[in-house]
This record gives sequence, structure tokens and C-alpha cells, in this order.
Amino acid sequence: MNTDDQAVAKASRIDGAAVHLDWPDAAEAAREATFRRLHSLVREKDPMPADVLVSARSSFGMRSIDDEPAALVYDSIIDDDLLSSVRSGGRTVRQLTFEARDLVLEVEVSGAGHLVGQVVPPQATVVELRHRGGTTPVATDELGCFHVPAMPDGPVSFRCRPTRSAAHSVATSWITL
Amino acid sequence: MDAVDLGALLRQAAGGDEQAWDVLVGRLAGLVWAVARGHGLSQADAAEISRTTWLRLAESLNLITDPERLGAWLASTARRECLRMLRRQERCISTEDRVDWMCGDCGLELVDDLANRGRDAALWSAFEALEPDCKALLRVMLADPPPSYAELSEVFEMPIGSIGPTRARCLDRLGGRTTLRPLHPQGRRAVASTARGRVS
Repeated sequence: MNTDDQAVAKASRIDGAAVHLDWPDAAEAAREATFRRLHSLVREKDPMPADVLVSARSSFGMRSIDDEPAALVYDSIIDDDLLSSVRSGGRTVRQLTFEARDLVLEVEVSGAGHLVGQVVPPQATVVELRHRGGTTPVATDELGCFHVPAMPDGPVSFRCRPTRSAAHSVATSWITL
Repeated sequence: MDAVDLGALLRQAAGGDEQAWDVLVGRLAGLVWAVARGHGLSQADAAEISRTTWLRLAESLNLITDPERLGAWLASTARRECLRMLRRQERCISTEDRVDWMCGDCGLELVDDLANRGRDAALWSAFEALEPDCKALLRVMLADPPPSYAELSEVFEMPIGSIGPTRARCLDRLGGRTTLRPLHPQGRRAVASTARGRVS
């Protein structure tokens, strides 16, 4: 036993609480004491910033009550396994598909924040990019393709007003890209 | 959490009552924040997760039929968004200030901390250094107000009966010298010597 080990052994013999911790009740009490200390530490060191609360409250005003929701049905970052991204050369393009009843929206976003998308069925229309700063209209070509050179920070949602078919606009769920 | 109360608030918010929405946010924002921070995201990223999650709820108010599941719905949504963000950050070359629990020397530092630094500082760095699953579970359990075991079961996709034992195992990793388990081989010698000391 080296000097360090002897010191530790001596400390353990002196520390009666260490021996008692072998009893289930004492172990349980120690755990709950740890949990209580952690609870006060979390309050002190990781409080929720006030602007997080303000931002959550303001979400209410962003509702789009009359829009038909388009659900996120595919996100390569979750749905692709790691092997497939290796096979495709480790590209950093993220692909997402949103689906509504009569409309599909495909988007691809690069690591640099460059986004291309397509509305299916193809049509010349306007896609509204909703974000923290407001709404940015983006026109599609006759094939339904559109392009956003620099995506805004924070969560976004795409809202589409089909010019030919549906009565309602379609809005995708909010997502951080 | 009071399910009847939440149900009324949900209905009022779905009907356009912003005050009811604010009460819901006040009750559950801490839970969403705890999920994001528990997954090792930076404050800025946790704020993005929170915003996305609440926007999702705002657009889904009419779709949530069981108010008792609102906390679980929010926490699960936040957790999924965290996993997306972590995946995205894994792909990026420039990593951010998150996941300090990934450092290789954390276990060793933990043992040193217990000897050399204040009790709370040591506990906090041990918490920061916990394995991701433990840290996420404990951080969410420390939300104010805390989620129920039923909610935790849904969010972490584990049986209710496993939550208590998992919590105990995670807390044991923080419990100080007598209950320390080695987090990696370099930390083992000091812990092993403690164990020898106890039986001699």
C-alpha cells in the first residue's frame, strides 16, 4: 500500500458515515441529500433566462389558425442511419419532407444555411418563410422550385399559398434547421 | 400537476385566450428548459429548442385531447428537437460550447475535485461530467415543478418501474467518495484504493 492509499484508508476508518452508507436506508438518505443539493445548485447555476419565457409567451401570436398543417414526415438527420450518410460521401446537406393532404414540400439545407426547395405538385406560387423576424416571401418557378440563399437563425416554418388548387394555405410545423 | 386545471387552460388557449396560454407557459417552461439543458445544449441552443417547442404547441393546441399528457408532449417534443440539434452539430466542423461532459478527463477531474474543491463545486462538476443519459434524466427531474414518473416514462421511453432504480444509480455516481464508480480507467485507481480502505 503506497502513501496515498494509506491516507485514504485512514480517512475511511475515521469517517464513520462512510461505513454506515453500506446500509440501504443510509444510502437512500445520501441519495436524497445529493438530489436536494443538486436542486438548489440547478436553481443557482442554470436558471431559465427571462427571455426564454418571453419568447415562449410570444409563440401564441405566431399561430396560423386557418392553415392546413403540413407535418414533417422525413428528416435525413434523424431518419437516415449513419452508414448511409457515409456512403453518400459525408455530405452535409439535410433533406426534409413536409406533407399536407394535397401538397408536399421538399427542402434541402446545406451546412452553410443555403436552402433549396420544391413544392409538389409543381406550380408557380409563393412560399412564405416564417421566422423570428417576420415573414419573407419567396417565389417558386413553374417547376415549384425555390431558393433561399441565407436562412435566418432560429425556428422556421414554410407557408404556401397554392395558386391553383386548395382553398386553405398550408403551413409546415416549426423546425430549427 | 392539476390535470383539470390544465385541461381548462388548454381549451381557453385553443379558443384564443392569451392569458391562459401565459399560465400554461409559466407552468411548463421550466420543464422544456430542463430537457434542453439536460441534453447538454448550450444556453443559446436550449433557447432555440424552447422556442421551437412552444411554437409547435401553439400550432397544435387543438390536437391535444388529453391534458394530462401535455407535460409529456412538450418534453418529448423538446427531446426530439434536442436530438436533431445534436445530430446536426455532430456533422458540423465547427463545434460549439456544448457537451462539456464529453471531455476524456472528466472522471479524473471528478476525483480531484472531491479532494480539492468545495463540496458544491465538486457536486456540480460531477453532475456536468455525468454520462448523457443520467444527466438528462436528473436534469429533467430537477425541473420546477418536477414532472411525474408517468411523464418521465413517456419522455425517456422507459418503464415507470425503471425510473426509480435509474435515478438511484445516477445519484450514486454523484454521491461522493463512498459511492463513486470509476467513470473511466484513469479514475479507477483512486476509487479502488478507497474501496480497499473501507474493508481493511
